[in-house]
Amino acid sequence: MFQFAVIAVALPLLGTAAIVLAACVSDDRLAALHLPTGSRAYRRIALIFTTMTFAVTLGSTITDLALGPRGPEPFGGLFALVTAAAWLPVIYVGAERDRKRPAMLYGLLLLLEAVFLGLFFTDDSLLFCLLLEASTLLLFLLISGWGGQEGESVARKFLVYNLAADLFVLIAILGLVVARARMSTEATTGLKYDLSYSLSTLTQDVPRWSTDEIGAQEYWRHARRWLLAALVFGLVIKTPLAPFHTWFSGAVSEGPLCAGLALMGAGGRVSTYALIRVAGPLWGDLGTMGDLLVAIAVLGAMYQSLLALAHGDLRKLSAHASLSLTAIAIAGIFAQQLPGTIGGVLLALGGGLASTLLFFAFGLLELRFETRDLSVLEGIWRRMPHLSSALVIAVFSLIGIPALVGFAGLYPVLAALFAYEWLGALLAMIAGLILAWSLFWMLERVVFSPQAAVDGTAVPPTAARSNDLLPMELWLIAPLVAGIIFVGIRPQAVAHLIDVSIRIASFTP
Amino acid sequence: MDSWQSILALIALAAPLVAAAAITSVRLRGGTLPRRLAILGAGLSFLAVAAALVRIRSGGLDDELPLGLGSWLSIGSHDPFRIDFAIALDLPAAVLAAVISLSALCALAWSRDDAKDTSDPLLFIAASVLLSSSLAIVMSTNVGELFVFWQIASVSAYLMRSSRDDAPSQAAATKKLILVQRVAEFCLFCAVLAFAVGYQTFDYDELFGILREHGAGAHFALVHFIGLCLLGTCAARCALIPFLGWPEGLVGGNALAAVLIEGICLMPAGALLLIRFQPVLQSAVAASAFAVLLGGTSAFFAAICAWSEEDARRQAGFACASVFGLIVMGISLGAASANAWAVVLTATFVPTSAAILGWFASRSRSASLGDMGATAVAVAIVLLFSGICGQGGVLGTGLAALARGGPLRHAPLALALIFAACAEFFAAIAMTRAILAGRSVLEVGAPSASAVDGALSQNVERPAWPLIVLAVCGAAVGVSGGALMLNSRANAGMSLGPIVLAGGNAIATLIGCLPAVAGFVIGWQTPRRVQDAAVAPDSEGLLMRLGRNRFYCDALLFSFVALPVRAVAQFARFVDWFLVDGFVSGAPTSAVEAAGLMLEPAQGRSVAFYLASAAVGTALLAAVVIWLRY
Repeated sequence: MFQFAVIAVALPLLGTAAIVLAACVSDDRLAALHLPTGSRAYRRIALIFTTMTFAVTLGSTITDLALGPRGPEPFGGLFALVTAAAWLPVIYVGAERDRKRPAMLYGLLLLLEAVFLGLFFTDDSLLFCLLLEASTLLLFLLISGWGGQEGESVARKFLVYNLAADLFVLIAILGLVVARARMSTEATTGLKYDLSYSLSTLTQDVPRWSTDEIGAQEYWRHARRWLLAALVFGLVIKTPLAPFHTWFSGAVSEGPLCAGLALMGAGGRVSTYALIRVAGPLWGDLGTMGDLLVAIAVLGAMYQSLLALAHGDLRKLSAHASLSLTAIAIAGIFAQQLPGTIGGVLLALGGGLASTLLFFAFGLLELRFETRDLSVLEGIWRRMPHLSSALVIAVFSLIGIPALVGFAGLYPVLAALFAYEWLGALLAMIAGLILAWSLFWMLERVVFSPQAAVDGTAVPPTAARSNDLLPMELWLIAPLVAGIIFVGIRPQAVAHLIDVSIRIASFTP
Repeated sequence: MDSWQSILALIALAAPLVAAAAITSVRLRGGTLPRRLAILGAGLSFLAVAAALVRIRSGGLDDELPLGLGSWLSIGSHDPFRIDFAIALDLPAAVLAAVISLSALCALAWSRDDAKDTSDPLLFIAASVLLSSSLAIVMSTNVGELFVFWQIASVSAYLMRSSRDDAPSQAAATKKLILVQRVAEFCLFCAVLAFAVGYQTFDYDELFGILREHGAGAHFALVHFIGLCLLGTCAARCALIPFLGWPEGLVGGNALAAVLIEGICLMPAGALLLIRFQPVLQSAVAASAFAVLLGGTSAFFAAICAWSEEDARRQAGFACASVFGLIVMGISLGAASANAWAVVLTATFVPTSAAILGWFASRSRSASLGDMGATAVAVAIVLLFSGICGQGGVLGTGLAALARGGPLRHAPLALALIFAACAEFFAAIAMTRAILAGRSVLEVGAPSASAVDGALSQNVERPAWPLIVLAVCGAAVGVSGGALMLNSRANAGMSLGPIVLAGGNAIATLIGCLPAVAGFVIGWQTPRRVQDAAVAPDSEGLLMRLGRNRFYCDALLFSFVALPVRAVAQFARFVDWFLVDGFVSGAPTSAVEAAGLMLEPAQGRSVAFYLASAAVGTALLAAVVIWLRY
């Protein structure tokens, strides 16, 4: 597992180095060697290394599935796999803006992939915080450097919010390190002040603190409250739940497509991962705070669904749909029950796959038709059946149709919410209903509406298929579609992996 | 189940799926291969079910254990939400599965008439998946499994429709179809979760065992909640009030999709759901009283919509939808004979409505009764709408229940019975008119006065043999009804003798058939409503106006659900832009930017200044750390 993780993180870094190297070689020399030149060369390098990274993360997960998890790493490995699968389209749509400093664009994208993978694989809490900051800065550079007209302003907002969130997470993790040092046996006996930064060590020690002697319990009761508040607040901004979501929708709609896809595929999953990996062990009995967090998450999901219904912009629609689903997943995690936790993780992973697929399909439509207005696009089913199929699969997964990953996540989350508080489950289901409404409305317009020909008659089914997915694009979405269907049909395998690995790390709520 | 029975059940389920997979893999556009593969799948499915049915009848395999197919997702040691997949092919399930697969096979074979249909693989892929999921609903052994296949059936129906939408109105009808189905799934999911939390199991046998043993008991509110959720599911699926309008646009589109959705697979599933959960309805008395009223009213409303319609396809669609109201009423009455009639009516509905809807949906104009197809459809109409296959029995049982009193209150039951009788009458008129002079206004335009006169004069000479057939069938129904009631005599706890009881029920059932007979007579005599050109449409009668406007169900749903939700969504968008983005989210960014502006003068200093500042800052930080530590 360790080797897989190191290789997976090293490959994008090597890719970055290769791009730097290629940028140093003149185009004439590359042409003489019959190699592609300019932005095509950098994109090709990035795609090669991203594909290799995906293969490594896939191998890692398959090994875990076959041999069973031996530590907490497989949990992060699943998130890493989703990131690696999402990165193939991320690199591909980099072509949208690669006329401007292409080497830097693809280099940054590969660096960002390495950062996200490292974030999911690392066991060091300080490195985790450092990588969190690094991901924020890299995304800021991408949004501000290659964004649209509003790119700079949304990048500033993105930076402020994410740095604030990272700061809260950093404070909480450092606080946890200090608290552990004070609560450790050596400290209570006055022998030694042991600072450990290992996430596994930190999280494994937490259950013991509640049963320590009275003074220690008193200290931990106070410390836990503040640490948890800081951590949850930081992650709520990072997720983001309403009302801190405007940086996300702004970055997705105004930033370059590749940054939007990176946010959908990996950026939006980081907080779910951290909530389980870091904040999970601190849960204890949340009491009223748990009710409040579930209420915030569920109402946030409903708010995002309403926003998805109100927007006619494809990018914003997908951003709000993704946020709505993430909020439901977070609500399931806050419900503090095992089905909710596992369902929340499945939903976050599935949401990553489906949102990436949806956004990628939207991005391709935007590139082909140079518009992202719902009222302009119509009736692509007969001309672009493959792209339409991708859209339909993504939508069906997002709204939770059985045999797709969305249902595998939504079902246990809603069940846990129902067992926790039936009203919360009801509101979450209504949020899902509104989300389905908005997405079916989109499908009706963009995909299935009868597309009129010049003479006003409907285009026949045999009309020439123009602008449909290229073979390369089909290969890029294949991992996403396969993941959506595999986890939808066999969620037990992945759920078992999550269950065992979080039990090993003792961060089961 | 024994191994042969298991294999047959699996073949019945898997054959359409394999056909769908084959169509997907060959990816042929054009040609007849997709349709042939779909027919092959449905045919194999029917053969397997028929063989299983024969084995059940001959070998007494009715009480075999279900065949387990594995667990889908189980979290923790005891997970009440776990979904286990298993299939059971007892006698009722085998009969219903045989009816569904045979009807689907005929519908697929019939779709040859529509040349456009044969060129779209997605239509046949979705049709095969719809058939398979419908069979799985029938064979399911637990609520979770039913919920999964319920959703798959909805999505398949959506795909069947959406790929063939040729006009914006059809696309809108398809969207309405899937949204209403999502509402049905929402209600069903609430019931599923309530089952798991309240009873800790999804299994039908365990659930119904608990309900039979304890009744509503300690779970009074829960049982009623579940009952109302199931009723909501059924209402949305079967197009009862307030979801009356969603099937309207379907009959105007693709014929195969219309038949499979309205006649064979999708809408009948709502009735099957209530039949399956009949013990729940029996335990939830208040919910069943509401269901009786809802069923009767919906039947009436749908029949009035059919009666007021001039398009033959829509007449057929609404008239068929009205049958569901009567089925729901029959199931909710709580009497064994009414339940039996409801089951018979459901089983009759699938093939007959498939024939009726298929014929009307694939025709742009009516044919004469001499046409063989039209004669077959006329026979189907007589079977379905005369009351001999259930409506009469349900009405008769309702009248008997009203006469002797029962758990249901008199007023709602009486009102429901009046509505149901009127529904029978108006549906019979509508269907008689549709078959005799039904012309699709949408496709061939409004009929001229001479055409109407011609149709009238032509119909005057028609023989009255259908009426004689109806009368004979009515008598047969009365006797059958009596026999069914005899079986339930012990449960009813009545002291009457069997002969008196049989005779009484025979009379009651005959009376129940009378409205339909009267409707046929009226429809036969006046095959087309003669409109006075001088009379403005808005001065039509109240019922006519209500029917034409679908009792304002769609308008009310739009006004009280769709419009407010859209308005709230737009308001949320405004709040998001003005308040959240402007003030809440914007404030921290603005604060940081303002702080940056304030610090701007400090940015022009020398390097020494910055180094000194860094040193001072480090010293301060170190002091704070030392103070905290010691």
